Amino acid sequence: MGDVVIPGGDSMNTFFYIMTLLLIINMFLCLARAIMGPTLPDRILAIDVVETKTLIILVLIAYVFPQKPYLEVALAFALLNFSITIVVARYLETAAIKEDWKH
Amino acid sequence: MSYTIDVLSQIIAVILISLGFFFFVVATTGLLRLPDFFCRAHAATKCDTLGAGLILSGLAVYEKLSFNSLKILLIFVFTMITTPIIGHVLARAAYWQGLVPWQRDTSSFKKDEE
Repeated sequence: MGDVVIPGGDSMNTFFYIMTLLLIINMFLCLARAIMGPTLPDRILAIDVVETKTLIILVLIAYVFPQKPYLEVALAFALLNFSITIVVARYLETAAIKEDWKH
Repeated sequence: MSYTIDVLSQIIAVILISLGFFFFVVATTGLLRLPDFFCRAHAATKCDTLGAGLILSGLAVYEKLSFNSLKILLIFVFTMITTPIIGHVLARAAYWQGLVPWQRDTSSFKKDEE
């Protein structure tokens, strides 16, 4: 066989494929909370949950289409996810990025 | 021998990944159904940490000993450190911003006592 592997060819591949699809459905349900959340922290929390699920989907995609560089993409995405949420939460708390903590 | 190890690692991986998906579903349910930001943060952070950790460890077991498995373990350690920190920081920010925690309406209970 060639290098191209159809998703769903192997049995474990099928399992990872189904898991990825279910996680994508799950992710869109979390996005509903980000759209209708009454307060700003609700939206930030929902976006953070969506980002965690995106990280897991990236790691699973490395096994669905067997292309392992996606693991490094996922590693970089984890770092980005953390810094984005920390900066936004700090901005929410002090309304200033550069000054000292007020509390 | 190596065939047995392959089948065993696949079975363990399927069990761990299914458990992790279950915890993700719990996190989504808590995020959609609970009444307050603090309750939602409680549900979402804990179940997200557990779900991501279980799925990543399942994939590391499936990969067995290799360089990719090391990368997955790196992502695992980083997720386990950062997700609780994010929950703490967000709850702290919301509290100092003046968000009042939700409380059950107890006026009907007081009426019964009188």
